Amino acid sequence: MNVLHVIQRYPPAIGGAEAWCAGLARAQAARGDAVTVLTLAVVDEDALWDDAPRGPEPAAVGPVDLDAGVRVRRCAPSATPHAVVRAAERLGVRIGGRCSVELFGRALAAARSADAVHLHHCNVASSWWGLLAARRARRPVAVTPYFHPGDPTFEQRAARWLLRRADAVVVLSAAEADCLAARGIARHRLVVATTGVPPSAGVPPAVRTRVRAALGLPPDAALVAYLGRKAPEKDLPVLVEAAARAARTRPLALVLVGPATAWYRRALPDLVASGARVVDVPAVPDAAKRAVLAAADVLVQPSRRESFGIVFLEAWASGVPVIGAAAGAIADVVGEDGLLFAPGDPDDLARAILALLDDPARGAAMARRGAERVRRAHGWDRVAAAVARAYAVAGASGGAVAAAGGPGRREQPLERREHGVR
Amino acid sequence: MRTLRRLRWLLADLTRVVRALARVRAEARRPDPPRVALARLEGGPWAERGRPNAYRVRVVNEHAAPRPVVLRLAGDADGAPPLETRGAHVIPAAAALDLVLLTDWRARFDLVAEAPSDDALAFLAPREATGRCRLSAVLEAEREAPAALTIAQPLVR
Repeated sequence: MNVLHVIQRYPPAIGGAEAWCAGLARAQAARGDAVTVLTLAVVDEDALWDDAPRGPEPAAVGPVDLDAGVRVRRCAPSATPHAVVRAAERLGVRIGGRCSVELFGRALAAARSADAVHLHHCNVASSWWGLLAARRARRPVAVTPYFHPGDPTFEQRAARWLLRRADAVVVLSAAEADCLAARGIARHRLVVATTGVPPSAGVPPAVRTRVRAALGLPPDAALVAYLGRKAPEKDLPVLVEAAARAARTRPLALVLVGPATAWYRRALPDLVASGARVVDVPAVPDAAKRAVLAAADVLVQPSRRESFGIVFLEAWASGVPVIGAAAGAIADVVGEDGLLFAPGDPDDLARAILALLDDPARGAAMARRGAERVRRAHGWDRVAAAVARAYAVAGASGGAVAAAGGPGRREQPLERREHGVR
Repeated sequence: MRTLRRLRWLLADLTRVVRALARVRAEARRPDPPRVALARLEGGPWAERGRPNAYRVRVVNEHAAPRPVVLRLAGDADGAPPLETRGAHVIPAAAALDLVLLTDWRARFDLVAEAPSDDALAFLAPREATGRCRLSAVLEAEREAPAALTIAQPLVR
């Protein structure tokens, strides 16, 4: 099968969607599919949202790559037509991400030889164009939206329009499926694929002490970890405030690991001044990331807008208990194998952190159950098999959704659905 | 007056969008032949002068036959003389070649096949940047335009 993925960024760029797309594409290539990824030649996240001139970063990418059997074609972003973007906003369309003449042209050409076109995100220009390219070539379209409920760019009509016109919608959790069904997406086009994690490479037993020494912490310091992009939607101020409140009861250090954004660089002085002992660690090699995770006492993902949260699986695989916000897909993913806190409530989060630090046996039991779930249900081969089912769904409707003038005719109007038909 | 100015911006942008759409059509018709290219140039979050720093370089050959290439690397760090190295390699058919540049940002500047095992935990310690270093890679292959990538990092003591 010839699969074309269209996504804004691809590793070495760091992010949940990037990791999911790469994990899936590699697994598809391992199954024998011919996989091409069309993406932008962008590594730094800030470069996705504005086209201000930037100096070189610690990583740069060229026009093509071969990544474990996956052909990656990277395209140069184009200058943003700001006046048009602003005019579109007035009409209620928020164009996310960067436009690229090269990517748009390559998508039109590559869609012709694809058996399935797989779009990533529902709120960015590259996906809207990818849908157009697939329709012109009469190819089935699957989209993975990584839907963030409540985020205005995901909730806008243009995003919903794309989701309704895709032949299949691949979601990462049952909660995300419910969320999209509640927004008028037909159940038979929703396929739950979950996510995978790479096999744990294992870390030496002395890592706990070594990581604390490297971070400049005493050997017995309690370590609360956050791993991920340091972006505004991740609710990091809530985590820092909670850590500061928990630190009044017992000493702890909060370690924030991941690539910074311009927002984070501006916010860091305030976060550090909050009273919590915050250790800021940039994007580090995988070995260092795994070591921090293995040395942590608790992993917290404070964001309320996640479509899954791969980091929970990584933490469980490393034997670390987790805390997530009781919102959307996160509550579904964490379930009974971690603690949940009221989204945006630092007091509740501080209580959850202290509960796990004060009762390590309880946390260890949760992490063991989580690790068992990871082994049982979260391999990339399973994800690839589920996505193959989505392509079959897409192929079965193959362009019919668009040809019929859009699913709006067949599916329930949103107003009716929101009154509880599920 | 302001409305008029905004209207002018909008018209100018719309003209640009129309031109861009024409370029999209041209791009769609342009052949996309296999090529030999620099795929990645990556370093750690920072470099430390006086210790070995590893940089990953990936060269990709999309052709159905092996291709010889010449890879040139040049680096400069604040206040130090420029460093350079070059190597000739044959990239197997439809494959990627991963190489590693090792430098101490003083004198050593070697292209090797594999990075020595290093202490990844070193990147966890908070460090203060004292300058910047810059690394460029240029790839030359027959019948291909030279390709270049550049990265920069904070330099710590």
